[in-house]
Order: sequence, then structure tokens, then C-alpha cells
Amino acid sequence: MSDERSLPQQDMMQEALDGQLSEEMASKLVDILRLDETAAEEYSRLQRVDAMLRRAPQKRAPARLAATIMARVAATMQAEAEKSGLSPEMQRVMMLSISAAMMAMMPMMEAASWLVLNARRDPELLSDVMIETIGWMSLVTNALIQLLEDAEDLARTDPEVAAATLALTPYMLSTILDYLDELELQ
Amino acid sequence: MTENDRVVADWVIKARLGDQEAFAELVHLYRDPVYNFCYRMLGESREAEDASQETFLRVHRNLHRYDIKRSFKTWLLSIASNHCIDRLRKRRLQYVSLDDEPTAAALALSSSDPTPEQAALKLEMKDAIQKLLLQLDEHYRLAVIYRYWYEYSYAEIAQAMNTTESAIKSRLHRARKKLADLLDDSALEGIDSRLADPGTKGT
Repeated sequence: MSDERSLPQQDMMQEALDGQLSEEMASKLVDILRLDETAAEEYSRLQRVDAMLRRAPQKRAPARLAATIMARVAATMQAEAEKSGLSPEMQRVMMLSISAAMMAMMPMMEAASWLVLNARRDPELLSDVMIETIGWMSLVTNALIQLLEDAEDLARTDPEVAAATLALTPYMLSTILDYLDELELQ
Repeated sequence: MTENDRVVADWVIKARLGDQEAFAELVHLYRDPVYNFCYRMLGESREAEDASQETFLRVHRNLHRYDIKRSFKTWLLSIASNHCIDRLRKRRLQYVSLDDEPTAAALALSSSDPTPEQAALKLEMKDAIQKLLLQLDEHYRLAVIYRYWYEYSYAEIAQAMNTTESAIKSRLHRARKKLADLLDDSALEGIDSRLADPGTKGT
């Protein structure tokens, strides 16, 4: 029945229920309701719903909720701290190891640059060199990432083994280079 | 900014720096509004509890994104609302229709001088409101919850729901009309005078 109501009339009813209708408009609505029985009936139905919702209670949280949330927050924070919280000594070892790895990579970078420079005049050769160089770099980077992740895990349980693992980084790089050289010779 | 807003902003700043006690203060202050919000959206106590926990965890993770000039409660409720809508969407995939509509018999009984039996009936009547609410489209329900349980203005609801004031007016109107129809269909006349539990709303 109310779908046929004009929009201003609907708005007036709505604003009256929400206490936002001006005095002037409110008296206009009263006039409409006095004259239009269908509108009066509709307004009465809406008022009933409004009153029911206004008196509906606020549900209170269970007593345990706050404690459970704080326990979960604490667990999350602890997990995050464990993930990133290496001791200052281990952080220094890691930095040294990364520096050593970078130094070990220098000859390879230099060799790659030399190959690229020499192959500039031959597009086919240049393309092969680029592909091969990218392959090397990718192989070495993946190996380094894996090594560092393993070292981080180890650092939490056995810092000495982690440090020893990191110390092997330059050796690992030179082994990869030897292996690549052998492939070249074959 | 009110004194209360300043206190909340102070807790937020401390919580951002990792102060768990400050975050606990926020949880204590807003646990009821968040739980009520989730309950009204989802309709089940256990799920509302899970959703409230998840809301606060998301809040904790995203505190750095909160704009301190905005209302913290509005931001918090918008996170709860997004999470509840996600849950409702997931639930819809395995939805079983609610065929246990509120019965007139349970709702028509008087609740004066409550005995344990009457208290139980009153509880059923409260659930009846929830069942009616759950029959609304989730966006209409959201508007009704903001309006009636949090006393938000049209403008505040529009901001929280990222829409216009006229859209909110229209949603509220349709929601009230649908609820009126549902009340008629269920022969629930008189529910308003018996469901009253004054003084328990608001935080």
C-alpha cells in the first residue's frame, strides 16, 4: 500500500521517525495523516517497527572476549618478534656474511660485464651471453636467499651453526662458479 | 575533539608503538559495541564472538592506517562490518534457509512478573527481533544497526557505508517497511510493548 506513496511523504515519515522533521513539516505531516487513512495506517506500522527497534537491547560481549582477544594479540606479536628478532650479534654476523657474499659475487659481475662488452658487436652472441648471465645471477641469488633463510631459522636454535653456515657463503659461491666453468669446458 | 576522543587517540598512539595495555583499553571500551554489531549482523553468538576477535586482530594489524582525525569507533565498526559481510557471503554459499520464523504464540505471551519460564519466553522474543533483522538484505540491516544501536545520523551512516545520505534514507525506509510487513505476516502485533528491555542499549 505504501509503495504508491509520494517520495516527499515517505521522506517526511522517515524524518519524523528519526526526529529530523522540522516543526512546520511535522504539522504538515499531521494534516496528511488526519486526512489520509492509508497514510495514517502506514505511519502507524512504521512507528511500531521504530519503537520495537529502539527498545531492542544491546548485546553484551561474553566476559572472556577481551581476554581471548588480548591473548591472540600477544601471540601474534610474539610470533612477529620471533620472526624478525635476531640478536644484535646475529644481525652483525648476517651483515658480514652478506658483505662477504657481495664481494664473492664481484668477479662474476666483472666477468659478466666483460662478456657483454665483448659481445656487443654480435647481436646473436650478445643475446646468448645475456641469457646465460641472467641464468647465473638468478641461480646465485636463489642460493643466497635459501642460505640466509636457513641461517635465520638456525640462529634461533643454534647460533653457532648458523654463523658457520653463513661463513660457507663465499665458498658456496666459488663452488658454483667452478661448476659453471666446468660446464663451459665440457 | 571531546575529552573521550583525546583519551582514545592517546591509546591508539600508544598501541601503535606496541603498548599492549593501551590496546587492551581499546578492547575493553569497544568490546560490547563490536560484539553487538557482529551479533546483529550475523545472528549467532558464537560466530559473533569469532567475528569480534577477528575484528580486533585486524584493527591491531592496521592501526598504522587509522587516520587519527576520524572517529575511532566508526573506523572500528567499518572493519567489523566488512568482516561480517565477508562472513555472510561465505555463509551464503552453504546457506540453509531459515524456516523457523517467530511464532505468534511465543510472542503474544505476557511478560509481567517474570518467572523463569517467562524469562525464557522473553529470551525467545528477543531472538525474534534478530530473526526479523536477519531477513533484511545485509545493506539494509547494516543501516538499521547503525541507526538503532549506534544512533548514527544519516550522514554518519552514509560515511560509514561509503554511500549517500539519500541512499541511506531510502534503505532505512525500505527496511522499516519490510520489517512492518514481516511483523504483520507473523501476526506479531504487540511485540513492541513486550520486547522492551529499557536501559540496556548504548555504550
